[in-house]
Formats: sequence, C-alpha cells, structure tokens
Amino acid sequence: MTCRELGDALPVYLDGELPPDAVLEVERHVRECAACAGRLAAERSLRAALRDRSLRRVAPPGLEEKVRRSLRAASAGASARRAPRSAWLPIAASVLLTAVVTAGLARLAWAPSGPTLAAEVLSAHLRSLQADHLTDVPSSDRHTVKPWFDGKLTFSPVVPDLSAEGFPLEGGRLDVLGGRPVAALVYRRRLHVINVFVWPAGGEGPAPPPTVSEDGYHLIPWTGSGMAHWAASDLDPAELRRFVDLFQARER
Amino acid sequence: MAGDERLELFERAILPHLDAAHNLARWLTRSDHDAEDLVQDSLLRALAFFDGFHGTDGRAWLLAIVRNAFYTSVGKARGREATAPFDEELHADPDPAPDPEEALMRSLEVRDLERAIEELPVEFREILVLREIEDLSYRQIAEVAGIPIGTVMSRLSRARGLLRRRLAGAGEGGAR
Repeated sequence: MTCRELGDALPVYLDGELPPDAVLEVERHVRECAACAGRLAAERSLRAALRDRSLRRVAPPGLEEKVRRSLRAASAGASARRAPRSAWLPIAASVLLTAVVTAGLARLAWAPSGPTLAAEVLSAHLRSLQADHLTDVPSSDRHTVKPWFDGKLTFSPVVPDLSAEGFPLEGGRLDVLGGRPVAALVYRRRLHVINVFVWPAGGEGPAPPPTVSEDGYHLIPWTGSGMAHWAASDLDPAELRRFVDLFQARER
Repeated sequence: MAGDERLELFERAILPHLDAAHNLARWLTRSDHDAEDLVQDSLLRALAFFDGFHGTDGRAWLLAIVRNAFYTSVGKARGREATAPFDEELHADPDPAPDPEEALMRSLEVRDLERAIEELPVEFREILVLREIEDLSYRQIAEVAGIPIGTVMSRLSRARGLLRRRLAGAGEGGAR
C-alpha cells in the first residue's frame, strides 16, 4: 500500500467501513511509515474532539411529553372517525373547540375525552396560520399545486381556480388529520385564509351538520367526487358557503 | 389495525429515536426553537406515514423524515426562486489530507467545534453530523439523505477538510 492509497483509505478505516483485508494493509503500513502514522493520529484527534457528548443535542426536557400528547391526539382523531356514533357530538365539539381556541393552541393538546373531527380540523386550520406553516407549495397556479401532491398522497385532489370569483389560490400543504395524511388547499378571500382539507371519503359515519361554528371560525364539510372536504375559515359563513358552492360547481 | 395499537407500535418503534431526531433538527436549523418545531412536525408526519415503515431501522427512517421536513420548510422560506442545485465542486478542498502539525488539535474548545460545524454548508453539515455525532454507517447516511454511498464518502471527505481548515484558523486566533 502506498502512502497515497493510505491517505484515501484512512478516513474509511476510521469510519469502520473498510473490508478486513484492507484494514490489515492499513495497519501494517502505519506501523512501518512514521509520516502516515502521524496522519492517522491527526485524523483520530479530530474525531475524538467530535465525540464530545455535548455536541449531541438531545431533546430538551418536556419535548418528549409534548410530542407524546400531540401523537395521542392525532391518533385519537383517527379512532373517533372510526366510531360513527361519536363522530359528530356537537356539545363535545363545542367544549373542545373553545378549549382549543382559548389555549391559543400551537400544538395539539386534547381533552381526555378525545377530539372530534371538527375540533381536529379547526386545530389544523389554526396551526396553519402560524408563520411559515401555511403552505408547503406556495403557488397560485393549480397546475403547480395539484401535481405537487403526486407521490406524497395516494389520491389527487381537485384544485379549482376561483381567482376570477375573488378566491385566489394561495398554495397547498400536506397536513395530518386523524393520524392520516390529508391534502390542504389554501385559498384567500381578502385577508381571510380558507383551508380546504381533502381526503378520500368513506367511514366518516353519519352526515355532519352543514356548518360547525365556534368562536368566529366556521367549518363547512361536504363530500364530492368521492372525497371528503372540510372548508375552514374565519370568513363569515355566508361568504364561506358561497366559496363552497363555487368549489363544488368546479368539481363536477 | 386499531388506532391505539398503531400508536403503541409507533411509540415503541419510533419514539426511542427522539433524541436522534432532535440532534439532527438542531444542527440543521441552528436554533433551539426551530428544532423543537421541526421535531414536532416530523413526528406527526412520521405517525401519518407509519404504514409505510416496513424496515427495522426506525432511526434512519425518522431522520429521513426530519431531513425532508427541514428542506421543505427551507424551500418555502426561499419562495419560488429556483435554488441552484448543490455544487459539490464549489466547496471542494482540493487536498483534504490533514497537515499533521496543524491538525493535532488537542486544545480545541468545544465552542470552536460547534461554530465550525454550524458554519459548514448545510449539505456538508448534515452528513458530518450523521457520521460523527450520530454515528450512522455510510449505508444508513445514504438512506437518510437519499444519495449514493460514494457521494456520502466524498461529502464527508470535503466536510472534514473544510472543518479542519476552519479549526486551524480558529486555533491561530482567527487568522486565515
């Protein structure tokens, strides 16, 4: 083995990725060559320094618990959807929505009785309003947004262009409802954000009420083209209903 | 599978890798706050996509999700301007072989190391962190970063070369 070959092999040797016969060659060369022994020592010293434990940034205290809570909430949402009887309890939803909104919720923090889908939708809507969380693909062009979901979701949502009617498309986003990935289409009406959550219909249980309202937010669910939709916004309910009608008309 | 069962399986298979996820998130974002956000988002995505996890290496799978979520958010921050694909050659240290005297950094401060790593271009930083701090194999790094093993090795080599040069500068009181 030449010194040059050793130079190439050294980092791989120290990474433990050399095959055994090359390992022997490296060790033999280093025994016989003082210059290369020096290079080995130099490489080792850098790695030793990098092994300082403080460089491994473990999760700060409290993060694990926050994560567990939000996972439990997301998962409970899925269970609620599979139990049709509990899917639309309006009273429970109202209690939870109030708790969610007054908590200024940034992360899912659920009451022990478990969230309903409506509460989860509102929470997802609120979460998206935080800085930087609104869109994964910021584009007003539906020919950019729609294909963006390919390969990320097993379904392709219809993304209508409603800019002529005053509801421009802002972009799209992957979101999570009931522990499942869903598409979120983001539209705007003046300064109001409208999220349309879309996923394949089926198993939602009894039909939801036409509108769910809580604390200035309004949610309108519907099924169209085999997909479940929920529109969420603080836009007034009449305008939101108009948006939904336009959206449904385009879907046909 | 029932939701509770699925969550329990997820918690057992994936949650033990929370520290690894946070470590990578912290080195990528270089911010305590953004790292926590990234970890939370990534764990939710991981739960959503858990049905697609068929392997045994939960750590690599989760780290790939953290990494993708990070680059997605970076893409958003940059808006729709096209970002030039990462040019390996641009950051090449033509001779990454260490100068034995310069590189015997016995008196190296951890703070100097931190700063030097944070200053690395992110595509080098992530590979270095995964290898040196998270102790992943080449194959695992290739899986996390979605690049061939050869690219892992060449980026490692360049990352180490860059790091050594910065540290040598730091050791001499910032002289370069």
